[in-house]
Amino acid sequence: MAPALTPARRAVAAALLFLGSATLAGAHLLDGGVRYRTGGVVEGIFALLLTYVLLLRGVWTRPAGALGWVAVVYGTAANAQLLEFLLPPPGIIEWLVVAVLALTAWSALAAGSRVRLVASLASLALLLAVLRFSVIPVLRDRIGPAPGEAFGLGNAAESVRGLFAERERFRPAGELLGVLALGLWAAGTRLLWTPGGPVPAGARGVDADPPQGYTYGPFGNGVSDAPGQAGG
Amino acid sequence: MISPEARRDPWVAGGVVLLALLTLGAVLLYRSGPQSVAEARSRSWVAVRPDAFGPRVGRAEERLGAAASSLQAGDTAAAMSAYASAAEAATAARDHAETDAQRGAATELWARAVLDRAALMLRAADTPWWRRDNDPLLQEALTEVERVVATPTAPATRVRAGEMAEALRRKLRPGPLEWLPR
Repeated sequence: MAPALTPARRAVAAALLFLGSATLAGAHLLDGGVRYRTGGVVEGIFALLLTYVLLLRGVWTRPAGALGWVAVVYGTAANAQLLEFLLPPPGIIEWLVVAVLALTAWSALAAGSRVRLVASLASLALLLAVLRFSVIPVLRDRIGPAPGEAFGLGNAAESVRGLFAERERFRPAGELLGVLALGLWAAGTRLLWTPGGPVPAGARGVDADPPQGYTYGPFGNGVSDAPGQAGG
Repeated sequence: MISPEARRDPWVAGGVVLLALLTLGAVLLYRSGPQSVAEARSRSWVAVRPDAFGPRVGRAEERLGAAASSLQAGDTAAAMSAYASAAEAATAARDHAETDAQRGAATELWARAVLDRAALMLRAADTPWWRRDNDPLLQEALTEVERVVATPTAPATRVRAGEMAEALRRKLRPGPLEWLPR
């Protein structure tokens, strides 16, 4: 018989899954070899923000005790590594994407429920994946002559292309590894996801979906339709 | 703090130990940055048994294979680096050899790595006749090859080392003198 999933077991299993996700997401199988990347300042700040939102909206419920924090710390590391995998390579396109993400972060905070938050995060991941693994490579191949062609014009074109996005071509196995990392993150998140329903007595309020008729203001503060009810 | 029940739970304790080990493994993996599964395997084998002959020889052979693959892909810099690692691993294997046969095999591997690397250096330092050759690189290659010449090796290796040393010395002669017989 499978062992029961106590909160402590949940926390350890989630931490293991997040570790696997972080490790796989940072190993980039490129055309020229394998690069081991770790998230920088940008990915780190976004990962912290994402962890805050995930905890606030109850997508992740921190199991009680130190082990709960271990799971959250590994989850944050996995967030940073996945952002390193999904964000475009360094260049103007990355700056634009990061700026847009920062400006639209409020909408994530304003998401009405954790189900909606997870759905919007999945859509965001899809958009970032399309940009990084389809749009950028296709444009890089189509715009201007290739390096070494057109009497040196190709080299000039390559330097301009590099200004927009650094050249980084993933092998198919590398993309598969990234998908596996995302799957491990989802499995870890599932372990930290407590079954829904209203907030049980004594539990932290952010750990459950809001009650019926409960809506959020633009900054996540609770406003209830029912008279005399408010929360956040 | 971890609750006493969680601490007594063998699944939790085992999971925490596994988590610590895997975290250490991930850190080591990212620090060493292996380029293939074979490289990761040979490196971890050496880490597990640093004083054994077998893992060192395995590592040297794996690096020689990696150098050949890099050369095939046209990456000379990676090939030179792999040859240097192979020579280093073969030297370590020779230091840990227990029999004369093992010592001889490790020496042959080392000589092969050094000579292959010297051949690449010779090719990299060679320039058209109107430009100056990369003499420091040639000198470095000659120093390495002379070490092979001075070490007892198989007859075929000794002949190859002698020819390589002669080619390097000729290349180091100034200007058109490199084409004149000595």
